[in-house]
Amino acid sequence: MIEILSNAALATVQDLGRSGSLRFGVGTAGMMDNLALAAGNLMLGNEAGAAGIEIPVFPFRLRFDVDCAFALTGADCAARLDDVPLLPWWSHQAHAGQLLELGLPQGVQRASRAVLCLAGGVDVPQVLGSRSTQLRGAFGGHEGRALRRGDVLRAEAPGRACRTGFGLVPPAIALPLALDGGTVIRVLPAAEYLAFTPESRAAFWQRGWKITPQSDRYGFRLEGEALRPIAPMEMRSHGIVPGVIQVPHSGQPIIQMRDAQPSGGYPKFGTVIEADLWRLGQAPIGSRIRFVEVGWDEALAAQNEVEAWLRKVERMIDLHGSASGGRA
Amino acid sequence: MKTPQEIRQIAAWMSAAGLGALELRTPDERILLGKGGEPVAPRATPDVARRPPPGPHASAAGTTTVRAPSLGIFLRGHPGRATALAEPGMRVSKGQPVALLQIGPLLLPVPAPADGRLLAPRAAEGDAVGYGEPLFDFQQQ
Repeated sequence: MIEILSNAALATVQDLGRSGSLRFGVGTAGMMDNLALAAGNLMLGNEAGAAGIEIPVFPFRLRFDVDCAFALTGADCAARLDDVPLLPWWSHQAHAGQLLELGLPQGVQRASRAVLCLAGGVDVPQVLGSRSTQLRGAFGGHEGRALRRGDVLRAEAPGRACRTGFGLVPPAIALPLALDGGTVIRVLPAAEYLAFTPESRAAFWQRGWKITPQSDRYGFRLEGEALRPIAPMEMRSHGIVPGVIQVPHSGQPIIQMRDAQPSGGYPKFGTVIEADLWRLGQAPIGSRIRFVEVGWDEALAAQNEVEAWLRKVERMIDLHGSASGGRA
Repeated sequence: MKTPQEIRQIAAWMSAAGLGALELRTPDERILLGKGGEPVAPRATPDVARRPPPGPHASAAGTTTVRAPSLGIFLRGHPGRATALAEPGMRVSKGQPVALLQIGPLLLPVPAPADGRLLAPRAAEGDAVGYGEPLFDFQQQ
């Protein structure tokens, strides 16, 4: 068991998301950095989709009440287990009574959300096939809400013998994508793209966009040169998914994120490709991002590249585990 | 010494990777695996390795050596961080990672062999190092 010691504003239990329920009006939720969750789980020998804890606000403290292997991925938060500094993107063994503390995100490419995985995954009930917290509906995850001080969570398999003490090259470095030092996000033009002026379309790709403080798991509100439609558009509500870039009347775009509701009525300018949602999910508030236009084939190739990286990670972890013959 | 199960596993990997021959050297054995008319079989030659196993080894000067616990690319720091894990002259405690070895996407720690002081590096950043290669001089305390 682990006990949360911080007033952990906005930390939630998440897995890879609740797919297949959009038709009931239930959004997907799920880890903002799904790649960090999958990789952290693989390090512990878990299913890639086992539930972990997304931590977006620091410092964050918890105590292990039993021996338990864990992995920390996502943002490098200068974590410490008792007084021992921990490496990022690393698997560790905690002993009963030890304190885990996460500080402010740091590092060469500063990310914004830490991901904590536990041996076997975080043990919360499945609701509609997922362990993700659905904040809007107040179900799933731990009691359908963000974690708070005093909450006690269980790992599925705290006692499982688990090889720890190794790490991964973070995907921000293994799968780099940057332009002039800033984060680059690949986007498919969406249904109403051509209904915007040619100047706005050109500016969207050429100018940087700032992620404003009005950004969270529901959506990222961007600030930049306003996008202007050729003629005003009034649309009925229609289905939307995480990654859709909507343009409200202000002309300042909103990117729907994991807690997006499943429908909306604003014109859709583009869609962030699935392969880059983890990258966007880690972009800190106040940072600037650039968009690059891609087509369907490039979007699929990018997704294949992410999946190939995960398979390589899984294979190398297997080799490492068997080559060491359980010595550790 | 590799067990027959481990040899079979290595042979299966060779087969999956389409490799015709494989030679594996460790401090206490050398294994040759080949594909062809002969059945795949291990051949251990205990006298081959003259390299000492990893860990501290006393030298005349009273210093010891930190050796590579695995093959890999020698990294002084974590790729996501700007600073080295440990600088020469620094006091470190037993087990503390003083460098990393990268194998593809994996990072393995190079632990300090004892409480002591890290001395000059013996390998350069980005070098491909083999099992047991010296990485740092080390003053045990």
